[in-house]
Order: sequence, then structure tokens, then C-alpha cells
Amino acid sequence: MDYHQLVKDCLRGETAAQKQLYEHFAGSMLGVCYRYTKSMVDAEDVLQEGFIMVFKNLHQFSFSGELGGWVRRIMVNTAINYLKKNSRYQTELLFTETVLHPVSDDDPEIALSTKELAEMIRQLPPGYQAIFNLHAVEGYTHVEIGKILGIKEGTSRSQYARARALLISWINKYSAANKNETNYARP
Amino acid sequence: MHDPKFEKEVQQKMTELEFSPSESVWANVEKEINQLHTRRSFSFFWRLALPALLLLAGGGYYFLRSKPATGTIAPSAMARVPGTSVTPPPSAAPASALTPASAASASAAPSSATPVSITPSSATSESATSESATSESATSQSATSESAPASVARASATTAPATPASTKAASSNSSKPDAGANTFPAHSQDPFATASNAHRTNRIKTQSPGQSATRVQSNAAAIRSDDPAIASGDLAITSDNRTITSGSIKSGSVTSGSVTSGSVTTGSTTGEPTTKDHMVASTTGAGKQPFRFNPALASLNSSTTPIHASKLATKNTATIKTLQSPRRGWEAAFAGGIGVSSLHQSQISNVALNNAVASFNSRDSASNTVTYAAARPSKQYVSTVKPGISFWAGVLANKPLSDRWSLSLGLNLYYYSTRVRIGEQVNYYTPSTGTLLASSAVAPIQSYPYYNTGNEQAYTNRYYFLELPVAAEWKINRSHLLPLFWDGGVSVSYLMGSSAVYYNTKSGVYFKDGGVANHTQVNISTALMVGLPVRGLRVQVGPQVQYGLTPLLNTELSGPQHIFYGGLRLVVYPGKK
Repeated sequence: MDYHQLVKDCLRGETAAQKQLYEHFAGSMLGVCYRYTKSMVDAEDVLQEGFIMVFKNLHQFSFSGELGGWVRRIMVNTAINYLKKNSRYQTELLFTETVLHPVSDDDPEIALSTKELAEMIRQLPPGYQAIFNLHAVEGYTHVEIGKILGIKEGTSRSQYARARALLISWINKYSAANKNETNYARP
Repeated sequence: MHDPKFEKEVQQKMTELEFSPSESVWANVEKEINQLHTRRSFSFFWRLALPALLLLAGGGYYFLRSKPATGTIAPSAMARVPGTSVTPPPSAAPASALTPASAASASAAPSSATPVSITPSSATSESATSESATSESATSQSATSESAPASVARASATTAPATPASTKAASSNSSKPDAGANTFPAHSQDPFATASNAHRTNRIKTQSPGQSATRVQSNAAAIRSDDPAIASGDLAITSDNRTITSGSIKSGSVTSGSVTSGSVTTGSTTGEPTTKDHMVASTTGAGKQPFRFNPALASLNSSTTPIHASKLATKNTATIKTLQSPRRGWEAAFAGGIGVSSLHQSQISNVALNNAVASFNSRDSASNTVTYAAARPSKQYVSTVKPGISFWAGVLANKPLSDRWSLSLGLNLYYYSTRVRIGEQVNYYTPSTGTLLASSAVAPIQSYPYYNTGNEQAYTNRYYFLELPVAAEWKINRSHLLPLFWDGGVSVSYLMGSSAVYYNTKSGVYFKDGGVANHTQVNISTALMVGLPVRGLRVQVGPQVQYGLTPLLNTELSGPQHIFYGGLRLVVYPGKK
């Protein structure tokens, strides 16, 4: 796909081009939004806001990087803002660490499907979920995460370690359950 | 330290995560985009429109200030004084209070200041008002024999005998005049003041020319709401809002006196009449008091203080606004044109030079020195200067001086061009000071190319002038559809830049040197334009010629060369006038 031309057409206000751009990225971006939220409705809300931001700021796209990466970054930022604004997520993003999960250095084999893993990530507390997504999936450093979430780098680091340990424990449980041919019970 | 293998595996799996969003997401996004587009358009529009509106508002305010004043009146009748040249109303004549008789009298002796009467009407009776507006009898009487001058206000204050006749003429419309109505106050010497039992008074503020409109307290019964406009020449009464709209009264502004239907109308006894046209509105009291115009009072009544006729006459007042002669201010316009330009040369054309080329270094000190001598052509061809494309654009300010004449000042940028055939470029030469220095030292010094004579290439000489024109414009006809304008004037222009090559008959080469040309030019220009009916704009377009009185080049060898321009001129005045 010629992103250059597509963006130009979008900037000219051609609805067909805008829809083409939306359809091209909507599926994967909904996956991004899904990982940061707790429900598909919230994910679609974030997706909608994110695409509005994309079209609003498309003139700022400099073609120096990939359009997909640029759109993805906007979606992540929109998702974080959504979490900050939404009361359901606000308390969990305070990172008060009232409940401390143990840190684990396990490195399990992930014998889960993509959707199963995504579901597990979404079961993490919102603070853990956001930091895990930002660091493990998006590749942000803890310094960047600290800036994005307004927390200290150390907090981000510790939160990530605990999120990772929790997720690994769930993965291990799930794997053990699958081995015993028992049904997986969600934590 | 964590093993990044886990993170990589998670990352890989998460990149594969995809879902299909519901249709509503795109619908909402599209809706938002459209709104965004609308907002952006609106924002863009306002970004442009706001300065334009400010300019328009400023321009409108300026034009409104210079527009003729409008008056407001609530009388049932009015009169115009002698000296006013009134032309019959074009359309509203039947409904006009200006009777045929009075109009006839006005047209019969316009120069002798034939009084024009606008018939009286009753302030208390709607029907009377309308009747008087049509003025079947009153003014027909006034138009005949001795009643004619009686119904008419005269400029002199000693025209007291006119009053009874005037009253008679007016009252013949409906009833006899009140016997006591025509008594004049002894101190006022007002021959036209109507008298007793006044219930209504029209208070008329007098304004000097240039004063702003006075506030109007309208007489409710003065003019019927369905009365059509009264137009008399440049004067019209619009009954709906009871205003008198004045286009122009040539003899000057109107000062108004106070006419009461009550007992007394007084005016200031100081001051001399300064205007010829006076218009007074009056409503009569107890029904049938005729309105009369009192020029003496009007002229005497130069102060702005309203004069009360009686203590009873306080309810209904009317104020008439001073009618001023029209004044129009400066108007801005965009101007431009396109055409051809040429150089009028008398001595260069078709000159065959057999011995023109000489040693360039032997030229006099005033001229430039050629550092690299050109090869002498064996046979020389000197091109004639051919016309080239030319265009210009600018702004102008136009000040109407009269109905037909106006003065315009402008600022234009002209581009002239001419074409010549020249030979090959030979080399560069530098000004004489540079040639004395070593080559490395003269590097920053500007060099100019020069060309042999010949027919090998076409060259376009370009001239860029900044011009300040002053012109007079005359409206040839009075057509509103296709008015014709003649424009003529002079301009001073300055040569800002040029890429022209000049032929030196002595050296036999074409060379570039901005110092050769005469930078300051005086031009004369004339144009014949037609006004085009373009909606929202006033456009004038027509042919234009311009000639440079100052020669662009005037050397002994080449002779004077004057710039000539001929083309199409376009002037656009934003807004209608």
C-alpha cells in the first residue's frame, strides 16, 4: 500500500481514503486498545478516539517513519489517557502498591494462543496492565513509562516486575492445568 | 535481570492480536472527521473573513460618514422655499404632496425661485392628511393667481401678506381656516405662523450644515402609514418611518424653523439666512390648520434650540434633520492592466555600423571599461527594438470631486519589456575601477555581460517601475448601465530594476548596465473605460495608453528613447456605490 498517497488523499478530505486507512489499521489497533482496557466496549471507545486523533493530526505525519507505528503510538497514548480519565481505572493507576505481588524470575514457555495471552494480560490490575503493555509489548523504557504515567522510574520498574511475575504465575498455572487436562480457571 | 525472551514472545504474540471493530466505530469517526472539517473550514473562513469584515466595517463607517444625511419628519405637510430647484418626482408624483400645480410652478420658473408648496394636511385627521397629500384643491388654488405666492413660503421675512392666502388655499381643502389662526406674534414678525388652539407642535431643531441628525419625536398622525414616498427631485418622504431622505439639495443644507399649529411660532431674530433651502414640517392643530413654510423663520432660526409655540404644544413634536449636500470620501480600488510596451527610438533603428567597434578601453572615463575586448564583427546587424508584453498592478484612491469628476492617486508596479535580436555573449566587463585590480581582487565586483550585434538570439529587455500616478476621471455619460469614463493624468515612476541590454553605437555591442537608463520617469497616461455591471463590485475596463515624457535613454549616439505602453486597464472598486 502506498501510504504516502493514502495520507495525501486523506489530507485532501477524501472519505474513501480515510476509510481505507481506517480499515487497514483498525483490526490491529483494536488489538492494542483491547490490551489496555477491560472490555471490548472500552477498547472500541479508545479506538474511536484514537482514529479521530489520527485524522486530526495526520498533517503532522512526516513520512520519516512507518505510518503503522505512528498510528500505534497514537493509539497507545489515547489508551493511557483513557485510563487516566476513566474512573474505573484511575484508582488502579495510583500505584500505591497496597497489594504487593511477589517477583518471579521464571521464564516460562508461553504455550498460549494470542487471545489467551491477551486475556491474561487484561486480567492484570490496570496499573500492572498498563506498565506491562508499555514495557513488554510496546518496548518503552521505564524512564519513558514514568513520564507517560507520571510515576517514578523505580515504581514503573517494580510494578512491571510484579506484573510480570503475576502473569507468569498465571501462565504456569494455565499450562499445568492444560497438562492435567483440567479446565483453566481464571484467577 | 529478566530474560528478554519472555518479553519477545509476548511482543510477538501481541502483534498478531487483531479484532474486527463494530461498524459504529467508523461511523462515529467519520462523523467526527466531517465535523472537524467543517470546523476547520469555518475557522479558515473566519481567519480570512475577520480582517475583511474589519476592513469593510471601517470602510462602511467611512462611507456612511461621508454619505448625505437623512432626515426624519413627522409632519403632515412641508414646503420648500424659493430658490430650490425642484424637479418633478419621477415615480411618486401622484402620491406626492407636491402638487402638480406647485410642480408646474416650480418648473415654470425654476431659476426665479418659484415657490413650491407641499400641501398641508391635518395632524388630527388621517383622511385629511391623505387628502392634503394629494392636494386636490389647496394647491390647485395656490397655483392660481394670487394664491400661488400665498401658499408658498418666501425667503423674505416680510412676506406676511401671504399668510391669509396661504391659509385660504390650505383650508379650501377641508374647511375654513380659523380666523385667529393667522395671527402672528408681534415679536416674531412671522408672516406664516399659524395661530390659536394648537394641540400639536412640530418642534424642529435647526442644524447647521455638518451637524449630525437631530433626534426625532414623530407626530403620530402626521403621515399616514400607507402614504407612498414623497419624492420631489432630490427630496423624498418615506412615510413608513417618517423620514425625509435627501439625496442632495444643491443650494446647501436646510435649516428649519419651527412652525406651530398653536398660537405662536417664534424664531431667533439673530442671524442671517445662510441657506436657500428650508424645509419645515408641520402638523396643524384642531384639524384644519394649514401648514406653511416660513423661510424667514427658518433662516432666522439658526440656533439649535427648539422654540415652543405655546405651552400647550408639547405633546407632539417633530424634528427635521438637516439635509446636507452630499459628500463622498476617498474610495480605494484595485487597478491593473496588461498590454504591450515598446521603446520609441529615433536614431538607432536599422543603423548599419561599419566602423562602430573600437577599442573598448579607449572609451571615456565616464563610461564603463571593457576588460576583455570582443572580437570585432565583420558585419554588424543592429536589431530594432520590438514591443514586448507588459503588465502592471496597483492600488488607487479615488476622490469624487463632483458628479462627474474625480481625482485619483495610486501606487503601481509596472513591468515593461521589449525584445531585441542580439549576437553571442562575448564576455563580462566590470566597472572601470575593478579593472585596475588583480583578478583575484575583483572577484566580488559585479560583472555584466555584453553581446555582439547580430541576429543569433532573441533577448527580452525587462524594466520594473514603481509608479505614482495622479489622474482625473471624467464620467462621460450618466448611464447607470454602461457608464463611460475618461481618465487622464500624469505619473512619476522610478526604475527599480532592469535586465535590459543597451546598444552602444560607439563600441558596437549590447551591454547591461543599470546606470545607463534614466531611473526617474515622468509619464502621461490616458484611458477610456466602461463601467461593467458586476454584482457587488464596480468594475471599469478599457484601453489605456501611456507615454514616457522623460527618455529612458538619452545618449548622444542613441538619441532619446521613450517608453510607450498600450493595453487594457482594469479598475475594481470593492462594493457598490
